[in-house]
Amino acid sequence: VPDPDTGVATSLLADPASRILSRAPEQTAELAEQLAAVLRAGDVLLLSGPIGAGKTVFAKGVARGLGVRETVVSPSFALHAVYEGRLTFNHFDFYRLETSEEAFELAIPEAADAAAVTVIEWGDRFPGLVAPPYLDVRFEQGDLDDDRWLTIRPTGDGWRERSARHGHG
Amino acid sequence: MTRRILAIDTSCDETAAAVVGEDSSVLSSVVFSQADLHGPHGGVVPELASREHVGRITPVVDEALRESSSSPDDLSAVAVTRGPGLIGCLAVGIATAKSLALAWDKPLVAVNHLEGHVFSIELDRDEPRYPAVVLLVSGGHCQLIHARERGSYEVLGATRDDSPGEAFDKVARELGLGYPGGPVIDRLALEGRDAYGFPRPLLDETYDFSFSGLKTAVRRHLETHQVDVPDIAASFAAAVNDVLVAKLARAVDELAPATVAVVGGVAASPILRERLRTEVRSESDGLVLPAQRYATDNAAMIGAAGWWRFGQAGPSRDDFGPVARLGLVSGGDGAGS
Repeated sequence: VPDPDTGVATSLLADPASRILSRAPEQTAELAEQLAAVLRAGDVLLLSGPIGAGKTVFAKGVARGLGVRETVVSPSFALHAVYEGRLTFNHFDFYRLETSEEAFELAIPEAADAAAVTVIEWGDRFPGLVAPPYLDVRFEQGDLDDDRWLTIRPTGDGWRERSARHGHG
Repeated sequence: MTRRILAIDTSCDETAAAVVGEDSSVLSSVVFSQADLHGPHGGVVPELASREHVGRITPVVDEALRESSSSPDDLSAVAVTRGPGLIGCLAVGIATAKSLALAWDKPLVAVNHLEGHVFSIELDRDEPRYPAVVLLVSGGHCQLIHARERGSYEVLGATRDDSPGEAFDKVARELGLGYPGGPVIDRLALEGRDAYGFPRPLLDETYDFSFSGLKTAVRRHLETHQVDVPDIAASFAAAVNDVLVAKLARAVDELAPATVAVVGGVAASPILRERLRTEVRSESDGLVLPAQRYATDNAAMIGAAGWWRFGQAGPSRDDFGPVARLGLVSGGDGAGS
């Protein structure tokens, strides 16, 4: 279990908009697992980036960090999956959706309000649909095939205070 | 006249109703899908909103009854998909089925959508021989199943990330092709060749599947190379089909089943069907493929599975509701009596 007061994830929170290079899917999952250690019920993460950028790998890491034991798979088809761990893990995916009305029908605020951490893949598809606060996690392709740049931006109220508490300065 | 069941499926995109005889003969099967309407324009997915199901369900049920010349008096039971699927969509079918069962005083049977796919091979056919090895491949699912007898399931392996149908849709969209991706890529693949040597993930290990890395490899290739689209389609389809065929063949070698079946939307692929016939088993040697219209989501398969569950356990408890995630469970999934 990663120590919530150390590690890459907490320094990411302490240093908004920092960019980190992952060299492999395992590293992306590990980073997400560390981040999960500081997540709380009600937290929402929006993941965005091209196909195969690591969004589902990241979601799997968050789930593992929350103590989910089942295999977490891509929810592109199912749109919403729920898993139980230390906290409930909500896994949404906007990939197939064409209109914000469809996304609205997924009733994300209701699901996110419960004792759950909510991760939304393709979360940038409908700007404004999910109200802050949330963590905006972006994935970009790096130079090598397996290289990914991850940018994590705390958005909205509350994250600044939590960042300060977790910061080293 | 054979006894009849009315079956309803609203688990995801399609609104479907069917009337199925006790011998699994399909008397009607109505599927309302917007994919048909939007496919030619490219990239438009069906309206997923549950309110669309609310609007369509009554006409679809009426049409299923009319096409089969059934009146409510002719029905022995009402079957409905309980899960897996989208809660809001499932709830429309369940509420409809419960209302009709109450109004017509018919027993109600809750059906697992995945078991429906397994029973798609019985539609308009004789009951298959068991044991069977069943590969269930669709937009949302990818499982290799060992059924020692009818209604008994051991999942040998499943996808660890994406389903094959999802990978087809995503690659099709990357190529700027239409929706759904499977048929489009299949058509193009016939004009291309397997020129790019994409990875065959987990080919020789385990019965689990992984298609995420393959999808990524295609995207990377598109970003870094000038490509021939039919060749990309052929290379991608070959990689997916190689994995599906190899794992199925390995399970067939190991378990020597009487029946080998491939079900789910991906089983509608002509390329995959031909490869199964030549590389796994012939149809005279136990290969059973559902008719293409019963490979993709439909309610007739829910009717066939409904008859089986009804025969095994009688009506379901009337307090069941929709379940988003539901695995295949031998002997029913808990909604039975």
